[in-house]
Amino acid sequence: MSYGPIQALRGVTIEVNEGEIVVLIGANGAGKTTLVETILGLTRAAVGCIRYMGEDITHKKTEHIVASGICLVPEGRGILPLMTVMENLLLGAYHFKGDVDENLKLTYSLFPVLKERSGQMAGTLSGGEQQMLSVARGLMSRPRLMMLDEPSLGLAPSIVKELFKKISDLNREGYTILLSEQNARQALQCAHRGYVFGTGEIVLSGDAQELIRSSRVQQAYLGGSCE
Amino acid sequence: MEIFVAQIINAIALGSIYALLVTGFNLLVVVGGIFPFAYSHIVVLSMYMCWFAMKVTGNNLLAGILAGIVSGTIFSFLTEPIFRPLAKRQAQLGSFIVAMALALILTEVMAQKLNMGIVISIPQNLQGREALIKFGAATITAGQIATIVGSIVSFLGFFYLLYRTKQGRAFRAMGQSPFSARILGIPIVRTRIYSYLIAGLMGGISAIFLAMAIGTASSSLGDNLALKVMAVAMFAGVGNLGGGLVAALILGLAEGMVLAYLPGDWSQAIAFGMIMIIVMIKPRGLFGTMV
Amino acid sequence: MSLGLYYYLQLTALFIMLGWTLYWVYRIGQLNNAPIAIMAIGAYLSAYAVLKWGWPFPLAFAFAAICGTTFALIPALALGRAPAFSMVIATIALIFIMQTLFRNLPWFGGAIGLFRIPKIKNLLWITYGFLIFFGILIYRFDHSRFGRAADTVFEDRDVASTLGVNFYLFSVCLQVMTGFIGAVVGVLYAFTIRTVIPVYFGFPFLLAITTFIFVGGYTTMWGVVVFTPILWGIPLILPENLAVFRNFIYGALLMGTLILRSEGVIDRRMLKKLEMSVRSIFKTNLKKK
Repeated sequence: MSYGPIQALRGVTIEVNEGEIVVLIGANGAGKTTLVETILGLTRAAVGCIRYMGEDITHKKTEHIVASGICLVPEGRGILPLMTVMENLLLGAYHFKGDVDENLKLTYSLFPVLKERSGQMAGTLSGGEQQMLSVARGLMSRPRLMMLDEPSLGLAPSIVKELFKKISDLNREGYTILLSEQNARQALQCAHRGYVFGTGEIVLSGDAQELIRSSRVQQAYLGGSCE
Repeated sequence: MEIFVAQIINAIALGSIYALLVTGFNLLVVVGGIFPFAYSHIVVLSMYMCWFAMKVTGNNLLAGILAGIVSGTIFSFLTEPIFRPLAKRQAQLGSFIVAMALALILTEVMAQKLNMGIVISIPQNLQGREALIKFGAATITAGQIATIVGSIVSFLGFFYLLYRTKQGRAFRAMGQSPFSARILGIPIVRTRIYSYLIAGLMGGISAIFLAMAIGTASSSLGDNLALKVMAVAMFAGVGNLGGGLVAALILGLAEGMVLAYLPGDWSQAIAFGMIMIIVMIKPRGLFGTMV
Repeated sequence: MSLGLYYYLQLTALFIMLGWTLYWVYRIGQLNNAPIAIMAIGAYLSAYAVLKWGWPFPLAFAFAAICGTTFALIPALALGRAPAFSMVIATIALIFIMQTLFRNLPWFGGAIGLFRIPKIKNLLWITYGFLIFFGILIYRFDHSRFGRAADTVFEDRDVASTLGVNFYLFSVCLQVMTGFIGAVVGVLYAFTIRTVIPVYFGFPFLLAITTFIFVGGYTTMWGVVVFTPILWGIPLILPENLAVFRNFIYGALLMGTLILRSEGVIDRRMLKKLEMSVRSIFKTNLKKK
């Protein structure tokens, strides 16, 4: 899958291959969310094109893009607080064409905490649990590409560790992941490749491990010294 | 004592109709994203269609009922494209004014074109005035029973749809967070259209019950009903489906009691009173504005 | 002057003033339909005072205006803080109730209303006097710090409060002021048409005025001024069979405008452009001299 330049962001080109975890890092407002939302069809790209599985999806409607296998775990989680955990998960499977109960069982096995809370109102869950719910909900559509926007935002460090472990687990199960994060270190540690954003443009890109070692990235995003 | 019970039954029947109307109304608010002032007018138009169908089929009951329900659904569906650009822009106040304009147009159509503006009167066999249960000096009519039972069935169906089906979850998701709904890939326009269809269906059913309860219809009934439906919706909290039910029954009871002693015009005063009270005490409605 | 022209000039002026009442309160984001209900009060009370009590016109005028404005306080105080929706609905309900009241209370003639209201000399001058007076008032408001405050409030009520705008007070004042205008219009209306029936002050009328302001443009006071004579006048010259469709046309125009060009025909940008072009014309003229 590859994506061409998008105007609102200046000349951004990224590529995500099947089975990879690709990370976008950069400060807030650097354009990461815009990119992710444009891919999903929430914002329209003025210039450029988005190609997915060989097809041009630049001007497609969000509902079709989601149906074809791209899902977004949005910044702020986007769960529905007045519906139960299970209902949120079922909504994730809106476009899923298989056995929903099987799907649900599988998801619960990956996220046992959610199974315990399946009848609870989603708004009463803790921040970390809500984030897990959001990820699990995205999973229910059995996506080909899972995009996560700032999943670690507002979570305690121990939960963040668990979160990134979950992301790696999912990737090992075969899910392709595009991750947008401010938490550069942990994100790069579990990724294959990364792109560094700075006010609407790509500043640096390459193998994730190289990026961690790069001095520019260290100074800007990792606190200056190599631990 | 029996008279009192009969009055209560009457009030419940009336309240059930208001409950159906306010539920359709709230559905359009929550999922359609608009303020459907003209909803009641569409319902009255369906009453006209029912009357017309019975007129041309020699008072065929089934024809009348079908005509009412189907026309309600279709008319509601036809108004969706009008509101679509406004729902997209989330221009709620704009949609209110557009609905006001639509309501006026519908009223004018009924006042000038349909039956040359004369009040229509529903044939006896639909009105269901036969007493089905008698106790002492009071009677309960077939119409009242049909209304109450029919409403209960409709509500059961509606809440089943809302809480146990995929489409219902999509409705609630759209109502709670249009953004989340979009991300989940819920087809926004199509889901809205469904909500118009269901609201129209409920409107059509209400039209039949109204025909039974009131027995006549005129062009001014639209405004009259619209006021009451909005009063109920505001009292409970616009968009609050469960609360609307309760508030509707309250209005039904209040009206039933008052109408026993004051002329019909004053029923509007109750609705007005409800509005003023709730605006002053709890502008967001007694139960809040959530789904 | 011919009767037709007289009516046209009178009613246009009255409807412009009513449009202004809607415009003025909408400046702070509230759609307040109460002036039409107050108009009914003004019309009925002044007509009643003249017909049944034999009062002279000025006295009846003052009486009706005071009563109307005082009455306007009630919804104003109750609705001052109301969210936009509650206000529209409550004021529409107010219109319905007022109609019901006047139709059912024994003194006002029921559905037939009051008629044979005497003619008043120079009513045209009085009306236009008020028109200019209120016009200047609103113009001064728009170009004062109150107008700017209103702009802020329109965008976001809460932000405006943090900037020190007392929304409740603002709203109540505007509502009472527009209530006053409504009462005045009511009196003048009664003595123009010289009959007062409940049907006049109802929903179709409200919609006509709403059409004038929303099609004309609700962000400036001039939208109403330009479009009321047009939208009110054209159905008057149309042949009979088309004129019946007046309410349809208003409804359709209103819907079309809101869907397509939501700010109305005359918006602030257009006014600015007009202002610029007028200025440049003056400049070129001065240069020539």
